[in-house]
Amino acid sequence: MLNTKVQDLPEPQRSTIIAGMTQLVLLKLVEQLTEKLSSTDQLELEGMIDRQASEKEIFDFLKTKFPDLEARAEQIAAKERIQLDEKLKQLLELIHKDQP
Amino acid sequence: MRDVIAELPVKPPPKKPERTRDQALDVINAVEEKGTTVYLNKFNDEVGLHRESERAREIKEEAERMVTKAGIAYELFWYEPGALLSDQAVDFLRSGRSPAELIEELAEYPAKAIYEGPKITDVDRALMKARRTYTESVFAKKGIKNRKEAKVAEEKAKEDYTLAVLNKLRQISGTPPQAALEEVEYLPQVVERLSFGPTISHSVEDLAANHLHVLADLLLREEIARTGLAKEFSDRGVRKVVKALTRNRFVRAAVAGSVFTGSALWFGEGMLPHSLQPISDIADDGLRLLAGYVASQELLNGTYEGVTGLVRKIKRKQAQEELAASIELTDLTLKTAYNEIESRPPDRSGTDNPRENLQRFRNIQSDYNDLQNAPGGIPYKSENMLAYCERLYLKHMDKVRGIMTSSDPERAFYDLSSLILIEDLTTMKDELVRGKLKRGIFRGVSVLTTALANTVALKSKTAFLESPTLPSEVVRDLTSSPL
Repeated sequence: MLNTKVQDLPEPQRSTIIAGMTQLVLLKLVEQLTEKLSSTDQLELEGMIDRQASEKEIFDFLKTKFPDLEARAEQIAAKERIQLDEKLKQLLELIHKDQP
Repeated sequence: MRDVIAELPVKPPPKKPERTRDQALDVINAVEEKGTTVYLNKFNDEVGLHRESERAREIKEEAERMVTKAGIAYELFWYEPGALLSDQAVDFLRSGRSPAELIEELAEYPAKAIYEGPKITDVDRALMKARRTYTESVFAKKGIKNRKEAKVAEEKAKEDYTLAVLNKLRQISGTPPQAALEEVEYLPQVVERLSFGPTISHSVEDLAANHLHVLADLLLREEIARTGLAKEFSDRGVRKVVKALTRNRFVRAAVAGSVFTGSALWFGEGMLPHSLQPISDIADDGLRLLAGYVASQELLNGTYEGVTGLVRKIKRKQAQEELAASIELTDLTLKTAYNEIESRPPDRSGTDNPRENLQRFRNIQSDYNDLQNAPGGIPYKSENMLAYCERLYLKHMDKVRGIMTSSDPERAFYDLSSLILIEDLTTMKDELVRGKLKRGIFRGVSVLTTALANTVALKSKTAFLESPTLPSEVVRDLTSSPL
């Protein structure tokens, strides 16, 4: 059983893991939203992309289509959490192997 | 009998003005350069690739003769009294021709020596047309009103294009071996084995070195051609994004969340990526694979390439390792990458040492490099060829073996060819069309990044993330900048 604490990890690794995991959860969210957007909404969004709409505008647009956007993101993160923990344990094992 | 012709008042042709020494030198240099290139290319074909054809030999020998003549011309134009002439120069003077005549003969050579490539046939023309129509249909703006019609048109274009590619494949298979190099730029020995006659049985090695080699090669060339068209058809907005993607690191970071930012790679390398996969796969595998790359600066920066590109790269590496772990799969991969003839050298077959096999995969690129400028050379990278081999021998091996056991092996081969092409087209469409949407959605949801990073980090039950508070700099603001 590993007893590694966050302070035991050298810095790039810790931040990298968090950043990477966050991005992976975000990617799942993107996939989910893309699948669920109707054709009409897709066209509208494409129009926004073409006219270089800001992130905030796109976010607001997505919020009108998916009022539970944040909850969805949280849900994906929660759903993945057990798996994340499992993978992180494996990750730690590998990090330990690499540490002198 | 009277010689009527001799009695006609024939006007002698106007005498061409003689070239200056500098002009003569330009001609000599041009012939030496062109002749040497042509000679080396044909030498490469004949010796390096065992490509032999009467026409290739003629071209090579003519190049050799012209380079020799250029040497003679140089000797004669820059002759200094008292210097010794070479035997060839002496022979030339004995023939009674003048150095000026020789220069005129040489001057015509570079234009004559341009390699024109294989003949363009009706099959090629039909393929070019179908390719263009299909690629254009993918880019066509589909409004709400004409969406259905546009989709039908796109499906029809896809079907026509698939048939046109299969027709090209049939044309290659049906070319007489002696004309193969000239007409379709494949080795006669390879084309000879493409037949599926009732009495012919093929081993899986035969298929790999001939049929699947030609299939992968043809589809890779098609992909390059489609990429060129895609550039032409992409709208101004896409161009703007692509330009930004290829030039601006911060913009690359902005598209970090899109799974299909392969367009950056695509436009950077002139090829569409092959093994794109659904985000869900990337996310699942990604967590597993992140382990080996914990110190990656790219990931820390939150770039798209840092996440999906890295995962894709690792998956590609894993697939190659899987191939390299098997003597048979390595052997089949090398046969497909090279072909029946070129895979004969002993270092181009599978061994029981996976590391050596991986090294042999890496060697493919340097072998391809030697062929870049030769007629019928390799316009793609070994990585792209290996990606096809991964699909053929890891994903579709049952179908490859199915060709041998099928009652109609020819049909089974064309079915597999069609399947692989449709996979390519689906990837391309996903890349070009859905990728744009996903990049846009990512930009929107990236607003949530920081909050999500804290959620992911703080709620994890794993020991090292149970630390009281993460320093703020750990979770960077990964919000992307506008495109």
